[in-house]
Amino acid sequence: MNQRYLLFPFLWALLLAACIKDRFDPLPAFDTSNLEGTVPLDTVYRSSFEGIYELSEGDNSFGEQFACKWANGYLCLFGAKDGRFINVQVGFRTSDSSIRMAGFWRDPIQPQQGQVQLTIAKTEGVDSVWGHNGRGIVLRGYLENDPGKTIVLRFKRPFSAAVLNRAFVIAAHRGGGRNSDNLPYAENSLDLVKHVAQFGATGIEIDIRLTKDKVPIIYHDPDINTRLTLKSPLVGDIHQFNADFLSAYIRLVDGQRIPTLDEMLTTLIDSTTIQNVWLDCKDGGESGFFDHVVPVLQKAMGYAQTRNRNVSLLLGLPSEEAYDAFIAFPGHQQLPSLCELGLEQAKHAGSRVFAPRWTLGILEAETTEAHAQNIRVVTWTLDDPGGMNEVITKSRYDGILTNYPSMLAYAFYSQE
Amino acid sequence: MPNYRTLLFLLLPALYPVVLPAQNNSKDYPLDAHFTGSLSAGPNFYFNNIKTFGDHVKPFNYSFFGRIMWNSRYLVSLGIETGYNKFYRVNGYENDAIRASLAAIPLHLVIGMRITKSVYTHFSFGPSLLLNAASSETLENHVLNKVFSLADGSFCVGYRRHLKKGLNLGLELKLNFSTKATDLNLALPVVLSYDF
Repeated sequence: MNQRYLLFPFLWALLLAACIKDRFDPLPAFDTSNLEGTVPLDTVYRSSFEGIYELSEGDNSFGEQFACKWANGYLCLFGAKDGRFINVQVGFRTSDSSIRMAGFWRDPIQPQQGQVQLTIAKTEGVDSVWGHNGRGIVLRGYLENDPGKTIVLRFKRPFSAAVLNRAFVIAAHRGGGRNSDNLPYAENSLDLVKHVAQFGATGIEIDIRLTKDKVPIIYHDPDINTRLTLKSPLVGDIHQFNADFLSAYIRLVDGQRIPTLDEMLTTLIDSTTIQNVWLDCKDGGESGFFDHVVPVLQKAMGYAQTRNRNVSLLLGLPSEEAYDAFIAFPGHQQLPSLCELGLEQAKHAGSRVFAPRWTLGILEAETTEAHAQNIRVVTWTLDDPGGMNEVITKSRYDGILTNYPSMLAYAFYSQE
Repeated sequence: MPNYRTLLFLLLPALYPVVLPAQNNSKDYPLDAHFTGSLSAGPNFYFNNIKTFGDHVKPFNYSFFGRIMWNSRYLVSLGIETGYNKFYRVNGYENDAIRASLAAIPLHLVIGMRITKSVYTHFSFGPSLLLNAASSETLENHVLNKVFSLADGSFCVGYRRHLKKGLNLGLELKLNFSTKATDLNLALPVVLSYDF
């Protein structure tokens, strides 16, 4: 066979390998058999579990150590490796005085997830839980993998003072991550933000655009495309469409509708424990943008108060155009904002947060000055564990924005 | 994903020219270098990959093209192409009362390869202006979105038969794709061309 004909299958193979992601695996329904005969654990005992666990037996595909936190009613274990995490529900079985757990694990990057069942036997730490102390807790169980593996985790230590004494925001980009990663739900969607705390996030960043009829919606790109939406008959500039038209005819990649800002903020207040919300004003430079966004923001802030929800909603200023429009908006100093451009601009705008890009390095002098002005510093968008560790240990930043909140959660909570 | 793979299988023959020799020893070649102008029109079939309201898609549409090619003394030819290529129409009803269509106006460079005296292949690439019209019977929003898609193109296999005095009549099987809209259709235009 002439060698050039080898090109023929080779080129075809290259095309085949260029397949784009076109499916989402939502968080799995999990086998609850291990929870049979249990009663829900009283919330006062939850803090007993929190801390650092080490792997003493079994599969180390999650790393040798886990950071353990509660979120959304799940006990969340963030592994040291690749941001893999476990979410389990917890119950107490009175018949044998054991604590039983069932849930799932998930990889934030690769399309992998599976079932998890864990048990704390009566003699392996149950009394420590009642004593509000994690020492002696041993989690034994089964972790469905390839093939399924047994796993044993032992409580190593509580969180360090460095963790407990620092108000640090683990902020999830685009409401939880990017569609290109192993998200269970579409980026910037309601279902994603409902679950993002389970992935380790304590804050989120979401993107605001305006429709043709000036309704603020949560959507990242300026156009309708198959990265963000299911293939539809509509193509092109999203600003050409009214909100009800988009609601009727466009679906996000997992089938959800594009949420309005109003719907998103209501969901955040009612259905999550998220405390920090960065509203990235993508269309901030458009004429009248803040006239349409600020009333929705103020309504949400009022609603949060009535619900006794402590949540910080910040208008993000990503560009000079957005910054200029914000400065021109009457009463902008009283509006909570976050400025990406520079500390001087942040001060001038009355921003509560200065958000420098991580590639600028650690801005020590600016951090000192910002803190002196009661301005917090949050860097973006950092997805590398080494970089996360460096920022956590060498800077006094108040948070990091990342696409992998579970990876950042481990990096932060596992500090010595 | 099955749709995507099906489309790749359809593209498979289009890779064939890549492995063709640039010249051969046929007595028909070399010819004198010359230009060819052509007009083509015909029906096309849209490979429906629309997921929302895909049931309402009308896949049979039409397209027409104009092309000027410079044919070298050997087997390769170069040229430019434009035209109008309607990808799809959507006519929904009741709760899905959407009306939409997508058409492309290509402005492409064309690379051609003569396989025999009558059979040739073309690969075209370049930008297209996409025209996306959308409206609804139930909602007030009439949109004509104009979008540039920078990396569109086509593969075609054609047959032409000489009539008289440089006039030729032929038929092409032409696979058009748009990367921006992630759309693909297969056209079967009749081609009238003139060598000068």
